Amino acid sequence: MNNRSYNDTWGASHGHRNGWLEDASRHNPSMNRGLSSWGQSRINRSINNGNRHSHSAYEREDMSSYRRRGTPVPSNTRSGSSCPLCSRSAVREENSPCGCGCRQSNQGNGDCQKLMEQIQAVDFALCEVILYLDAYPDSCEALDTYHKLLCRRRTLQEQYEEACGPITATGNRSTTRWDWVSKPNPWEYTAN
Amino acid sequence: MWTYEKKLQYPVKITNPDPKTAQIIISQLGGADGELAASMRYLHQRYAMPNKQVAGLLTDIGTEELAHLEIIAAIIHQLTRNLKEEDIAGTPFATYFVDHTLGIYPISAAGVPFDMKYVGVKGDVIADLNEDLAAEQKARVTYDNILRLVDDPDVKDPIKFLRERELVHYQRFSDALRVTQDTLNAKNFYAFNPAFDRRNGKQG
Repeated sequence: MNNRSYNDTWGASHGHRNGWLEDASRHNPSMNRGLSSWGQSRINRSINNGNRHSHSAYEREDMSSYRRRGTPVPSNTRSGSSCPLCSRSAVREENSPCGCGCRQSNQGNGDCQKLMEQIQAVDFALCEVILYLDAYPDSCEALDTYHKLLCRRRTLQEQYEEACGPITATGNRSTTRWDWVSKPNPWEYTAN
Repeated sequence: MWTYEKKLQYPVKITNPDPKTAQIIISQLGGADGELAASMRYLHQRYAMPNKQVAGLLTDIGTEELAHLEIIAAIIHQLTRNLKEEDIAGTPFATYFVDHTLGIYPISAAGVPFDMKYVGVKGDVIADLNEDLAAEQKARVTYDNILRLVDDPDVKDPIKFLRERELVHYQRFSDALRVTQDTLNAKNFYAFNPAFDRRNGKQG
């Protein structure tokens, strides 16, 4: 126990949930005032996953995280038809539920655990940007990020609540079943 | 008011139960520098904060600490699954088990139940924010100590996440302190207590 190296104790994750904890020394110059570097990379990943394309600098990061996790790389990630700056699809979807035109994620394949993981990821990014905005309420960039994440979050929440069950007590879709108490609670082994 | 979402902020999946580890980690539930102390501290300090940004920050971080409380409880719950009596007898967990069985009770690793005396609410912006900075560092040290004593990677994963969050909260409270000091007299930060004197009708 005395011979542990720094990395063993405090370093990168040992193989679980690799996408979450980034190397703390990675530096993102675009919004680095106060946001932790992995908070920023988490935010970028959530936005990019939702819009199904990514800028080159973040693309490498996204690809390696997919490889590490062993999940298939989304086939439409390297889209040539998206704006390289605002990360929005060139094709506006008129029936986008939140009206912002961002392309819907097609990862909602009914796999509840995966959906929940995505929601946890977006919520974490939202948490970071909310704390940042509390300290810097005049940051337009942060507010923009906040709305992109919120849009993605609403989409994911709809997909999850349709297919898997409510996240809040006011999200019970069924008029014949009270699903709020039917799935395992989040602290249980089977729920994670 | 609070809404509950039926999800953990960070997933916890611990395959191998281990009551000895649970006995150590429970300090982050009910100890002096644990998540319950943190959430009570921040959620109660916010009422006297005249600056809405700082009050908002305390609300948001206090709520997040409640979520962390749930993560710690989940870790302890999963570490104490499927135990037989011989797994418990003779371990430090036995003294917890005899009073609480497998219930989750906020207590320190040394067996001291949670106490509001751990929480300071001074009603002064600078004093309260400095207390919060110290609290985040103490929580970070507690997590460091847990990481020294624990081997299971399933357990270390959420603990490392929680440790990083303490560091981020520390940065946020530093920002709040700076924001507050920007609004005070640069020649003397302590000329008056912004949480009290302004409300005496001196200014609106």
